Amino acid sequence: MSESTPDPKLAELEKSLSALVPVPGRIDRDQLLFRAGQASARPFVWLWPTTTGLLVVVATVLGAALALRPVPIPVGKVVYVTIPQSAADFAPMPQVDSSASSRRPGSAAELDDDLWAGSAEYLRQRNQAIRWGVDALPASPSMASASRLPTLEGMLGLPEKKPEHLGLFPLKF
Amino acid sequence: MMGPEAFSRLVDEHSAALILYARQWCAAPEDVVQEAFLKLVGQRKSPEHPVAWLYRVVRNGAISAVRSAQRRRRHEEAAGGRTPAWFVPSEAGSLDEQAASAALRELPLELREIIVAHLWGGLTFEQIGPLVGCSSSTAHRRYLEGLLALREKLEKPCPSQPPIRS
Repeated sequence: MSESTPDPKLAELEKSLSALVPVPGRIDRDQLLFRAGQASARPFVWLWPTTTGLLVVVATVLGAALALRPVPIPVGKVVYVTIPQSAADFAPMPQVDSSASSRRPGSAAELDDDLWAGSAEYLRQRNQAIRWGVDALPASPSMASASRLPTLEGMLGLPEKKPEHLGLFPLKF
Repeated sequence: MMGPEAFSRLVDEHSAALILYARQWCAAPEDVVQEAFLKLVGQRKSPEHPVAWLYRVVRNGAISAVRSAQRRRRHEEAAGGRTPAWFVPSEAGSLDEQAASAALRELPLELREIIVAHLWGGLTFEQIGPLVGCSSSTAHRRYLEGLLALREKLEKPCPSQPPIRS
């Protein structure tokens, strides 16, 4: 589009008008440049408010999830224990007859079987003691066989002496 | 972002014309123009035509400022009754600045803002069209219409002071 004015009188008026200088106003140029510098030095002014808002949203969601968490329903569990009524239940468990004859003495298999047999016996006696008390335990085989232990005199080929008394301190003065 | 040299040159060259443009609407045009310059600095990408961009921002800012302060302005006009000068007094020009200001004030706003934007702002009619919300040809037609109206007003004899100096 042509920017010129067709009428010469209008063109003259246009020239006269454009010669007028507008009043500069009361703008403080230095203050404006200072504020412009301040504004240009803050390009990421949105960063912290955005981060704060995001964290507030996350904290709110997590708090709501914690507050509205469903309570776990307690599960009732019934355990039935059979109590033995007859004396047969007191009978000791049959001894495990390990087929020791079929194995070579001193072999690893025999040692393993002995170990398992001893553990089974121990567990059986422990359960018996827990259920019926210490009095229900059978007599200890070690105590029963204590009298048959070899004595020092027997091992040396001397005649055996009978104990004169059963005191704890057999001292003679 | 615009550099400091380009920005200060823009302030020096266009602030007065922008103030005159904003004065068509509001009574405190300096504040509007200053805010427009600060908005320009805050732009992450500098506009393609910063001057045209500034005129658009000043126009929007002046219109919103006059809306928000309409009651106060009415009160001030009624109390004071004085209007600030639009042009710098000059003996060299062939046109009296007060007469020109008075003739411009009497023009309708849609003609006046086009004359101010073209004559003192240096905007083309292609830039003025989108600024005022019309086509460039309509802007040109309004400009000529405004000049004709101004000539009629300025050629009218004034009893106290002749409008056009010889």
